Amino acid sequence: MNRSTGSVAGLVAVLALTLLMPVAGVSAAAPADGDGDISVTIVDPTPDPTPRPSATQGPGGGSPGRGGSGGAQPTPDDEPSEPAAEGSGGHWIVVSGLDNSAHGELNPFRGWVRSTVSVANRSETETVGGRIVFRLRTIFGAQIGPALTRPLADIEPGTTRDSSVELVGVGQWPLVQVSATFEPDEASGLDPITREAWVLALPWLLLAILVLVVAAAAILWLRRAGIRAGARTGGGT
Amino acid sequence: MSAATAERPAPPSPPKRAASAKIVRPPKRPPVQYLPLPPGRQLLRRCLQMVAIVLLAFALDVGLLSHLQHAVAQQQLYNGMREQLAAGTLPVSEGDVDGVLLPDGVPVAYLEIPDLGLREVIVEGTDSGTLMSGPGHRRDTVLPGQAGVSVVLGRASAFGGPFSRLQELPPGSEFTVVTGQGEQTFRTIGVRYAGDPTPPALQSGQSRLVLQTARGLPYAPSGVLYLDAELVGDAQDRGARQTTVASLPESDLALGVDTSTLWALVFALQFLIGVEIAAVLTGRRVGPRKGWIIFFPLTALGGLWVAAQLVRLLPNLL
Repeated sequence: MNRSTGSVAGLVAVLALTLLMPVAGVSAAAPADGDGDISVTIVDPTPDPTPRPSATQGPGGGSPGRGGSGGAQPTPDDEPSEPAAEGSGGHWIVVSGLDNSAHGELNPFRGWVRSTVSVANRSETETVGGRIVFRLRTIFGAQIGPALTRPLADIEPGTTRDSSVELVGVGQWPLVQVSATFEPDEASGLDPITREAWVLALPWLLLAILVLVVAAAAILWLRRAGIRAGARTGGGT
Repeated sequence: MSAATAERPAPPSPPKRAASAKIVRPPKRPPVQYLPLPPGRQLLRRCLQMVAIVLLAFALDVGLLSHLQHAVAQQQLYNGMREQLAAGTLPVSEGDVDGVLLPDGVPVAYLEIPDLGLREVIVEGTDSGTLMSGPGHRRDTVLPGQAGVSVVLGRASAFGGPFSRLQELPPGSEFTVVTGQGEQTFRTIGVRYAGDPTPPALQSGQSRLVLQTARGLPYAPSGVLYLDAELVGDAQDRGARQTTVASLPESDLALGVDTSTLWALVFALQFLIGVEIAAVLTGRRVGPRKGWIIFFPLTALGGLWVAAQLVRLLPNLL
């Protein structure tokens, strides 16, 4: 009776514990972007206060029917808004995501990551210059090796410039973070723009050690099993 | 004659099959008898068993079953969307052909990004449960290709992780979105994070598409990644929208968490606890081995049910 009561009480405790898990996850995930209320606000300066029915011809050749119907008409206030390039002073710089590829070497403490990033100047008249600083970090945030800086001078309007580096020192870290920060010239008044990406590298030395340990354990186990079987057989003769 | 008979060798005797060839096995060891655990340890063991079941089911669900679920859902959505495209009934607003508000999860567009090898059916709605099927269109924005800004959210890791490689899309690359208004071609502007300068406001008749996903470590998002793309060509007519940015639930925003299904988690946990209690009581009658055979499928089912409800409580871009 006591054992049964104890089991039920334990299960209730687990229920409470499991219920706490999602709550903790929720609270951890909410401020993930720093401000806790992550959303994109969008500018649409041209909302159509009297939208026409959007019953245009579909790809299949048919008519969408009354697809544009469905209740109240949107008003300009219905559309989300987004401030355009605040503080950019007429500049519009776009930094692409990082294109990374990990490369291993025989030296287990070396290994490197090639990282490429593009900076596009989408301004109409303004030329922008600056530099890109690349960094390599471990999963714990510690920087590996020195930061590499590449100058990007005089990016003409409408042009895109690529910058590529090889960050050495991946070693046996299975996961490293590459970051690239575009630091514009002070005269442009632009804020730095950072891009980050995680790169999976193959820790071949660690894997080799793991394989050897598993193989040794398997061999030992098989030998012991064989000795045990031999002892049984020998004991009977 | 008699001498010859005497010299003949004796025939070999048949092999003996007597006890001399029999292998004498050592006596069987008596089964190990452990002392019964005290009630406190029994309780701890049961608790740890349940936690282990839930954790294993969670890992299995997120790491394997979620991708399978996404693939199946996409196939079904694609089949339905093809029929609607052929019939010309694919929604081009927030209402269907009968003027009824679209429910979450119905297909509204087909996204194809050749540079990433991505082909996904976009569904209406962006809460966590809806994004399990595929990328979702945010309800308060226009459809891709219509005049204005359209926002599409997609998961980065679980459930196929359709937007996991969004960051690799270089500026200037083109991709297409098929809607009820035809095929729309978009050209990538670039990637941005929260806090980065945003593109300038749209001019009249222009259309922009913003793809959003999580960034950071897989399964551990640290922020939102935005990919802006501009429409190549003329924008389509706008469809009516009943949902506004003010009425959009927070669970439909990027990294939003939907707690409306918490009640289902409670039921799932009750089921799992009930199975565990039944297993304990039955195991005492029929023995632990038979008890495991009977209750393992039910325990696995309960664990997966709990895990599925837990996954719904995670951020929608995970």
